[in-house]
Amino acid sequence: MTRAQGSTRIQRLLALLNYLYLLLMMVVIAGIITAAMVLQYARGELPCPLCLLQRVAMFGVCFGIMQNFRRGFSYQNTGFSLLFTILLLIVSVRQTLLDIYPRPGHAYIGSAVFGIHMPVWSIIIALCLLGAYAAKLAALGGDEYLDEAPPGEFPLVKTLADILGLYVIAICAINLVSVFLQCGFNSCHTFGYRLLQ
Amino acid sequence: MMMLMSYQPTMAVVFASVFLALVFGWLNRRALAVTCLLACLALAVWQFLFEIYDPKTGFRMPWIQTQLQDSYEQPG
Repeated sequence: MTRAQGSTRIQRLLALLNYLYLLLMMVVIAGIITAAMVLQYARGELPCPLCLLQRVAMFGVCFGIMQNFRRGFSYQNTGFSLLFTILLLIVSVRQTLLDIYPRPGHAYIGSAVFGIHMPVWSIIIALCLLGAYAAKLAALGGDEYLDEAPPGEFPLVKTLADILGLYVIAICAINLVSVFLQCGFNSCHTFGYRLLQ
Repeated sequence: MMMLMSYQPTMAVVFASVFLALVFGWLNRRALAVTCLLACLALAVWQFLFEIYDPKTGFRMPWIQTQLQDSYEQPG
């Protein structure tokens, strides 16, 4: 094996790791939103306005990742994902501070998972996303190898990413209908679905 | 700012814009997708500011404010 061939192999391996990493991030986000939807529909825990904004932020993060698979890697897509990660962090920190001091009308909404409530989990999720991007940049470095190996070079990963992308669009559509039923064109409340009453 | 906070963007519109961004992104309509995404970001920030704004206290969080005790006694 010549030196050039070895270099090409390493570049393909780095590209594959990059795409697998992004795919894993999207799987985790889709899983978190799905879990929130299960709690909403199976246990009747309606999301509050700030909870809904946190879901929007997660869909925004997915947009950046999906675009990397649809059109090839771009730092602009990473920028979109990071913008929505910061939005997720700001909204969840503010919601945690809102309910941190128990008083009438203010308590953490919904069930605690492992003793931690949803807004605190959202802070952890946002920090994990920021950490994941930082770790990816530190471990996999720049993007020069991605020019040589677009997502289409790895058919299995591309197919999985396409299926997951369609799933994310589907759960976003369900959330859109659900939000419309819950809030209509007014402010959102957790008492029930406004348009079904 | 006060005037901006008196109007509320609709949460359904925020979700509709992120949904359209995902759909246009999937269909490779990049310009439309990015426009919808940026509109979603702006509406989400506006919605967030509306939700946390209180006419009495503004954006402050008086329930976690602490005051320095005037008659603070040193331990021991």
